[in-house]
Amino acid sequence: MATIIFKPTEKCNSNCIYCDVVVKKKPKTMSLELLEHIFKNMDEFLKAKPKERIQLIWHGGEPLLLGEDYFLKAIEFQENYCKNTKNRIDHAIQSNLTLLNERFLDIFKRLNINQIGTSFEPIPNLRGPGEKRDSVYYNSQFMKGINMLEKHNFGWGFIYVVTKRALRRPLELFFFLSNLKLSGGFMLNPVLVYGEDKEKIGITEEEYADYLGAIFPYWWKNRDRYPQVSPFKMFVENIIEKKRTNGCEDTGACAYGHVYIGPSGEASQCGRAGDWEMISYGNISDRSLLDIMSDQQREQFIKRNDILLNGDCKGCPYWEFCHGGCPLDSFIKNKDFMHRTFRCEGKRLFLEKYFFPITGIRLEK
Amino acid sequence: MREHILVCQYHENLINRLHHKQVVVKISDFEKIHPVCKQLNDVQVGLHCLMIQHNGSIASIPFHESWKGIPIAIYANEMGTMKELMGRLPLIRDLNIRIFLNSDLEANFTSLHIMASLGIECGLYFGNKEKINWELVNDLMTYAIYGKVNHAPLEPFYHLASHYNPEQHTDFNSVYFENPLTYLHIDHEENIAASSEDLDNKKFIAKGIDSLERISENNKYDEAIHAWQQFFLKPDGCAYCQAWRVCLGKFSESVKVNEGCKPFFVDMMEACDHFLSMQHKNKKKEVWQP
Repeated sequence: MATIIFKPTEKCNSNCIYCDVVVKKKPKTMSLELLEHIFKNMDEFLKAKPKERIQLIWHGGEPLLLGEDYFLKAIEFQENYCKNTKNRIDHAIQSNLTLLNERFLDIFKRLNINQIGTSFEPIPNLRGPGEKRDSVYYNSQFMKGINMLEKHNFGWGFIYVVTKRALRRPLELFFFLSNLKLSGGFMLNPVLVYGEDKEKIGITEEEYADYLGAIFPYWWKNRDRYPQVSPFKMFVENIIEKKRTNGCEDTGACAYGHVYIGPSGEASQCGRAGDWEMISYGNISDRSLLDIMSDQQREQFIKRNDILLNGDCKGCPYWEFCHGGCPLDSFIKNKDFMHRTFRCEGKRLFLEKYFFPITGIRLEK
Repeated sequence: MREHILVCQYHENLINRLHHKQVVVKISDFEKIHPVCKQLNDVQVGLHCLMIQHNGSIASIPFHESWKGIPIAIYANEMGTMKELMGRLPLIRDLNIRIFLNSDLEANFTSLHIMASLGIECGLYFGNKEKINWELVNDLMTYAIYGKVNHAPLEPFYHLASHYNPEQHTDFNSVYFENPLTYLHIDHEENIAASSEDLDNKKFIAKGIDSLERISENNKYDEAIHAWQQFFLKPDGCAYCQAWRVCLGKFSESVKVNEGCKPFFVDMMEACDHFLSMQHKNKKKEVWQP
């Protein structure tokens, strides 16, 4: 599966405190000509790789700002240029839901999208439009969005970004989030701050581990009630059930599987790598998707596994469900991809301080 | 969407206009039971339940054999003496009734315990929310859900436990015909509201029986069924409570002076989980069938 993190627009109607797409860049939107070119490229890629599929994740910015007509054009391009390959293109979308309407839902149905990824923040003034981040307005629009999704039988799941301001009341926030989303689940992810932490929202790995640790005993006791909460679910699946369900940052296998395509056609390894301009695979206007997906720079992410296993991660008991973490996090600290990440420490702390003592489980050697 | 059950005060003309609807009819006099049932039958209105507010004791109710089969919810002040009640127990158990007592009178908690143990279907309804003795509510719930000795279902605990699904909200107000997903309230002028309180306060969502056909497209109805989301727009309050999913903020005002609701509903939710797990355990083994 080739996963395209597709950001045809960097524009957003929200000013979320932890998003640097809006802060760092002058928002751009992809032209229809370039969109057309990308569908031709996907067709070429899939024809060359008859066993391969593409997952196209519409991301942003806020993709619904593109408008319904833009998506209708995408459907038209897919119909025109991917006649024999369209069944191997899986669309997905990340949206803040605040602009959702029934016309978009019809479009999503045509794209076979039945599940939408989003995020939510109950702490006031962290998410929302304008300088003051009007979270009351934003969240009421969000609620209308989820009502519309549920009315039309769409699934939804969300990410909660743990910031400094969330640290005071972990369990209460957990209750809030699980009360909001009774079925399915959500993810508790640490905030990612690249560069200066102007808003003072960043958290340390220890703080993240302790935040999870404040919730975990309750979750573990009542896990039948809240089965889908990650990273708890992910740790249980990996450690107890021996499944490998790591997120992309922990698989150690992103090298040839992911690509970011931005509004000007710029290509990079993934969304974060593109946002933070850490690695460039050129531009899809000049290079085919096939070329981009086999760019030689990707080899370093394969080599990274060997380097880590003989270096930073040698003998680490958690390698199988961590793989040294996301290479980009290594870059933030070390200016290269070849180290384990500072986030490993958070995982190790959580596992050793909370997970193993509370569950009574021991890791098999 | 399932058709709503309409809740109304008895009004002869209104009943005549509710052809083929299901209704809960509120009456204040036991003598009206038969005439109301006859009219409903004559004009082909389905009776979901009769709801009777009785300003007296249960013992003073003129239970009668002719009520057999008629679904009745009786809201009474107190139980009255056992002496008066005992002789009529076989008849009461034979009727299709559920008797509710008010939480304002502490003796009612004992009465409900006794009635349930005697096999009478009964329930608690919440009066002055600021003065609820939550420890007594909890004791009653513990008996209702965990009690091993045979007893009749006690509401709203039994409803919560038997309808509980960790993946959904469970609204125990259905026991009192107050859940807009199932019940809508209507007056004789055909004003429609999402609750009896809204009807009393003239906070209507629609007008006219015909409007019920398109009620799912009605914005005010949509707001009413999603009213719980208002709790999620506040920086604190009931949405942050562990037990939200079985309470839905029903005591959000009274919790400011009476915090007992939270520990009660936390225990209630545990009881629901227990009830659910017992149901799973008691599932009979199913061998393949030819």
